[in-house]
Amino acid sequence: MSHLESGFCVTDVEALAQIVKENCPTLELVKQSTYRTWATDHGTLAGDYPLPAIYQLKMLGWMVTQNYKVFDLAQEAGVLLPKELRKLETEPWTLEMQHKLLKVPEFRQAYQHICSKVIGNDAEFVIKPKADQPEVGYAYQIGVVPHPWRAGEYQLMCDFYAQGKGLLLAKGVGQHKAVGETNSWGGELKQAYAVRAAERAIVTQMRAGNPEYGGYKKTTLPDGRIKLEVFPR
Amino acid sequence: MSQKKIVVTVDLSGEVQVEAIGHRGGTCVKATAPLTKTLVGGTPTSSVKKPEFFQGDIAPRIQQSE
Repeated sequence: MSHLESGFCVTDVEALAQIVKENCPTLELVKQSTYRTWATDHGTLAGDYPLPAIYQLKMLGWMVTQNYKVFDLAQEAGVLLPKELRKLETEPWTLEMQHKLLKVPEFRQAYQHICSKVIGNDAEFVIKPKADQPEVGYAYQIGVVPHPWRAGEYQLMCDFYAQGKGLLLAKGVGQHKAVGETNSWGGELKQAYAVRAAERAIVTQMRAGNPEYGGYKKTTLPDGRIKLEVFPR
Repeated sequence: MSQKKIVVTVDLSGEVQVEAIGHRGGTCVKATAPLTKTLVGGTPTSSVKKPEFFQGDIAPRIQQSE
């Protein structure tokens, strides 16, 4: 072994559309900017979880545009923000830190702005129940939200309260699971997407004549993980 | 040296691991770039360089400087 990287993001929307069509018979992926969450119905979030990292960044970005001194205000609240705010992407603030920040009026205002104006309104594509499905009127939706500064990269966002009000129970998506402080949802959809996106990227490299990409073998491991081995020419 | 290959593993939560096996020096980064860019994006949750990464074209330069 020489090098190993791990993570998840969406860069191949076509692969995502294929998987939704093939694996999720009650859902569809459409081009749409709004996606439904708790905030859509209540104007804010319940505040029982820290904001997802992407929204922490958007919140601070908005504060900077309002000329708020985010570092000083955070310090006032007893929270030390990283010098490079982008680091919040991999090390987001915790719920305890968020509670402290929201005691400061400027942070509270910014949080309210993000919850009421940004979350649920910043997607480029949305995965939602088809119009003929009974849960169409109340289920939450999955937003395919562009990364704030990396063009072509998206994050999947979904309010997992009550299994996304039924959305995460749909075939091919995958339910919300809480393990310690980690929350995961949509495992089936994300795994199928990642495998499809990987296969498409491998085939693209094979066709382009990349010597590292001569062929590949796909295996499902006993624990459910899927392994793709790529062999050189 | 083991046979060169790239291994992509996708777990049940969708977390992707991209691993270069048998590459020496920085060639592994170039070999896996199309997959890491597509699957992991610009902010990997973890990135580890194995001992082989520091072999090949990098090790001689370290020796020369000693």
